[in-house]
Amino acid sequence: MNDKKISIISSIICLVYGISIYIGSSTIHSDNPNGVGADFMPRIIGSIIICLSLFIVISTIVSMKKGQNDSEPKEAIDSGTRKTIMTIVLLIAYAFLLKYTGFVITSIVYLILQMIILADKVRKKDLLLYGVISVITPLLVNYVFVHIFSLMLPSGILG
Amino acid sequence: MLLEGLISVFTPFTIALILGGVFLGIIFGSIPGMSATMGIALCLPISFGLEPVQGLSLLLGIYIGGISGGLISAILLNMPGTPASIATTFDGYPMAQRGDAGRALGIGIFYSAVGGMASFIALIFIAPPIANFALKFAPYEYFSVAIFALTMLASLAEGNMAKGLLAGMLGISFTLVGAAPIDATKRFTLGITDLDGGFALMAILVGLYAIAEIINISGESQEKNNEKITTFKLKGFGFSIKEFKQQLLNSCRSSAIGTGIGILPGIGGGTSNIISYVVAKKQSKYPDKFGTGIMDGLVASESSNNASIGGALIPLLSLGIPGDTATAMLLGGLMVHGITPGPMLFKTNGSLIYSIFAALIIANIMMLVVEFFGIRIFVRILSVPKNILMPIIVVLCVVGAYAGNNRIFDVYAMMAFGLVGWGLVKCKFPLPPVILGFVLGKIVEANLRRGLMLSRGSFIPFITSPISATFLAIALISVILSIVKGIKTQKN
Repeated sequence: MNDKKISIISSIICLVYGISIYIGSSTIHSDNPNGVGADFMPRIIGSIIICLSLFIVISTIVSMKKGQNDSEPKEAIDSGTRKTIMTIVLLIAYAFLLKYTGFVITSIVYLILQMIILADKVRKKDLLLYGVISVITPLLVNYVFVHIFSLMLPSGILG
Repeated sequence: MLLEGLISVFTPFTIALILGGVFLGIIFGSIPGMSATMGIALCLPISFGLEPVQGLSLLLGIYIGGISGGLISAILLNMPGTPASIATTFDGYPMAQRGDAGRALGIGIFYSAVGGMASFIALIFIAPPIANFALKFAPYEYFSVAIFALTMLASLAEGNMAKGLLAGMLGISFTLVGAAPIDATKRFTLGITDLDGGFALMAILVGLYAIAEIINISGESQEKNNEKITTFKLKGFGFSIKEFKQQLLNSCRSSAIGTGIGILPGIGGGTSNIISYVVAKKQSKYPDKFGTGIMDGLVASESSNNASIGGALIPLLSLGIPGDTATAMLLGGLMVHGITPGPMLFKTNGSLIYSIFAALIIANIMMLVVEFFGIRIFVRILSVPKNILMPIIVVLCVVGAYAGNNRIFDVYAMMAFGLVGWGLVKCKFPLPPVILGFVLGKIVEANLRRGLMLSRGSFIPFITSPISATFLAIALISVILSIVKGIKTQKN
């Protein structure tokens, strides 16, 4: 997908976003005899987003028609994209599991998995290093923030 | 009184507290997700058990170290440690990418100290008249200042004006979620109670910058990432006396902007660094070089964010009104010791004021020294393989996001904004306008509505009040100039 197509698609998404803000603002209860209500700002922002998105879509289409296509090669699904997808899934799983397995355990699992995913080549001695760092870091962070600073961190159903 | 105040600070224990505070503050400031405000909040209980002067010295040390520490991760990792260092990434990171990380750090550290010192001088010598002037700022003036700051969006977006403005509007749209200002009407909460308070700034900042960055580099080869090893050769702070003279105007102007914005309650280092960067760019003879890693951008950003410290302390000490979130914590610290800041403070607790001044200056010098000797260590961070460093940063970000409000929802929000940020970067939208829009959106709306309530629905006072009219006029001129410039570059 070249840059122009990305611009158009992303601007259309913003357009839909702006429209939903504008429509959503009509459900906002607003009564303000002096001045503007709670629906004023959403309406304005929604309108501006709609206008700007339309502007980008139209101007990009116009420049495409003028033949200013930059031919960028299609991004194949390579190992890079696979890594990205795995990272995103891992991050979401990390956030989701925090409540259940607590900060320390979830972080240890997350750290070691993420380090492996991000690395190009994993040798046996690297694994040992990742393992050590993955265990020490959450324990250290937990000790410093929970016991020294009396901060709260998710403890999960086990803690 | 002056001597009494100064002597109470120059004890070994107090000096050690200041040093420890600066050190701690730097650590908090440099980790994305944790800020100076959080550092102060965490050490408030420790300060309770100490004498007032000692407790305050510790907290002030954390404040100064925290605001300055943000430059470390901003320069080395392209992640602002605190909102006050967003503009530091614009020129600091490119400079580090060129192999000049030590020089970038040296410049940032030196001018942090300069900006801070300038604002402390303002605090010490002209606090009361400045505070009286700040009192003249009614909602009309705040609205106009925020609109003026928003026009900076247009300058930040130069290159792709429409996308930049759209990014700014997206940032403002995120503030629409939650309880509306003034009447607390629930908006766009979709029935989720966690959204009633809206999104936390930290969750958005860390999500957009740190989480998005890790998703971004996950697709790249790590070998490529680990190639940039800097050979460390740094003389002094990394710049010459000639360059210092060249930057004199820039640093003075940026410090003034930082102090001025810090004085206004509710706006602080987070906004001032971006504004002074844009102003420096506009007034520069070579605006096109901004963003490629030049000294000017770094000087502007770091002078102003530390200058906002002194600025924020002016209304705190003279009027009892905190200038930003960190000073709001300091207010708590003062009141626990039975000290009520305000106009009477100079009469009832004169020596304490002088102690605070002395502590600020000592902390500033210590920050300079600690960070200077730490440059070597900081640069080493760059040589840690990214596949080890980034996951650790994510874990710290989770702590930072969670600790703000003690709820998992902020972690979810952080991850969600990470995806949003990654998407925005992939679609070539700039990120700084999003943050700026988020920070300013609330100020714009709240003061617009307050102003209209004051004037009973009339827009006239916004234009007739002199300060408000000035800012609106500058904003208008600035927008027109940007559009004209944009049209000119398109024609070429």
